[in-house]
Amino acid sequence: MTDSVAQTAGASTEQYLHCKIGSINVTVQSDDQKLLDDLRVLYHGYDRPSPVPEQAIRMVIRDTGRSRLRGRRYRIYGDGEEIGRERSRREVLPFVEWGINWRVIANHPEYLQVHAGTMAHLGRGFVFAAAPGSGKSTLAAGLLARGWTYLSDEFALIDRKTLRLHPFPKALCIKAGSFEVVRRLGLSFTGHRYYVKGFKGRVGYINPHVAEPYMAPDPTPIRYIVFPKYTGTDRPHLYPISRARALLDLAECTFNRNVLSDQLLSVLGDAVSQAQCFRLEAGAIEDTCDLIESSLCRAPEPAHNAGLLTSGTKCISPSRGAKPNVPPSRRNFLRGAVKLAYVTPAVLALNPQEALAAGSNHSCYPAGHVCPGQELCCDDMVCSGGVCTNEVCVESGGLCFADSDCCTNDCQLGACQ
Amino acid sequence: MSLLMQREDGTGGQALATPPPLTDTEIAIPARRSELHDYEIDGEAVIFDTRTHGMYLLNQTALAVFRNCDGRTTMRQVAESLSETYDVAPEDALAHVEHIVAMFSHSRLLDLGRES
Repeated sequence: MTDSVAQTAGASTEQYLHCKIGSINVTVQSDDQKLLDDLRVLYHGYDRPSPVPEQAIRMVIRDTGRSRLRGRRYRIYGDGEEIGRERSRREVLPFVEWGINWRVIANHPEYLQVHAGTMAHLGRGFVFAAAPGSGKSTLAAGLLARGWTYLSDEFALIDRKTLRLHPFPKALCIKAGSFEVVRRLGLSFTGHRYYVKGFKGRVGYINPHVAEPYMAPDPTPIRYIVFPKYTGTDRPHLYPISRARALLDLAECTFNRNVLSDQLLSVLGDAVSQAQCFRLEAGAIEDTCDLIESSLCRAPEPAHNAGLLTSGTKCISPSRGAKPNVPPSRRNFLRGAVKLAYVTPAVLALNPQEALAAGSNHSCYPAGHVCPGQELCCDDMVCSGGVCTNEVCVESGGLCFADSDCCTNDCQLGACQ
Repeated sequence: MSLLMQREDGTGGQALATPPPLTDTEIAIPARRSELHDYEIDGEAVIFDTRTHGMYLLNQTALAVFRNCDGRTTMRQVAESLSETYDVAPEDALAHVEHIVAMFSHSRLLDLGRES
């Protein structure tokens, strides 16, 4: 590992850490040696000996002083913009991580950016798309421990031209509730300590290089799109869903969907068309990973137009999947007119404002339910980070999907302003 | 009549509540708005409204109705077309077409026209 370049600027000594995370170039600058050492450990394996190109994301950490009551505080900047103010030492690293994510959204429009964990296995790309708190990162850790290729726990970076998954293999961020689960997998946390990440609370980081030297894979074709949700069930379920439904749900998780606008459906639709799509009710990590490996990994390569599982694959509870078209009635058969089975026309709206304008009489969403809009959550809960929660709103600089996520009610490019 | 598309996992989706009934339904000629983008996949379709950024998932028969919202076809004609293709009685088809077109209209996906 090469030391960062030290420069003298007045009375302080600026230190730099240059990294390349997948195809994303990052430079982190700080006058705090210990903080940079923490980051150096976190990004071990990604660091580069020389400054990365001009297009690099530039993060700056400034020590703003120490108070007796609050301890040392820091200010964090991403590409010149302040994204974190008066943050404690334990908050700095998550803020830097989040700031890098935010700048990826802003600086890399060549990708469709979906909030998802992404893995690769046997040359097949897997997209695990879900709202925060659904267990994506824990699932990614479970599969990493089994030798799968880690692409990201945060972003599905889908090349808009090739529709392939590009790696963004930042350190996996694991919430406190999964610390023990991850340790049982044999994975260890970087720095053997925890950090604090906004409303998510305590988090730990796993450097994917820890297990063995990480080799970033070539861009990988998407073959499976899975929507996981941890329910704690003792029998994990994996069942197919229609690709149109997957397209809708994937659009909901796309950070830059409003920016892409005209191209959104065509690019996302073409990406979904090459994959098989499933919902996953996740339970214990070992059982869930067993299910994924037994149901998907040993299946033959899915055909491009296959909407259902191919023969040779196994799914628990297949009856919960897409319903086959029923045979025509005997009366119609005798008439010689064979008609398709009829399903009542139905439309599902992603935009909750439409439903509300129509005077929707749906019941409210409970805590933990995915919520495209705050109005859909019950009682005094808020729709924060895409999930109904009793937790407070996201502060400035925090990750967001919609204005309603933010205390300031202003979400731009995935960040609360 | 429920026009809620249930999630495959059995949880509720986002219902578009029953809209007010249309008048002169036999001569109403619905037309899709031009700003809408759609992507058809496996017989269903996702509609993206570039003006409101709203998104909608249409099942197979809703898509068939939507495709016939071309500014030239009456709702009765749409219902007859459904009845010819699918195993559904014409009167049932018309009731469903009226309902789904009212939903499209209420969601501002259509410009409702009248036969001259």
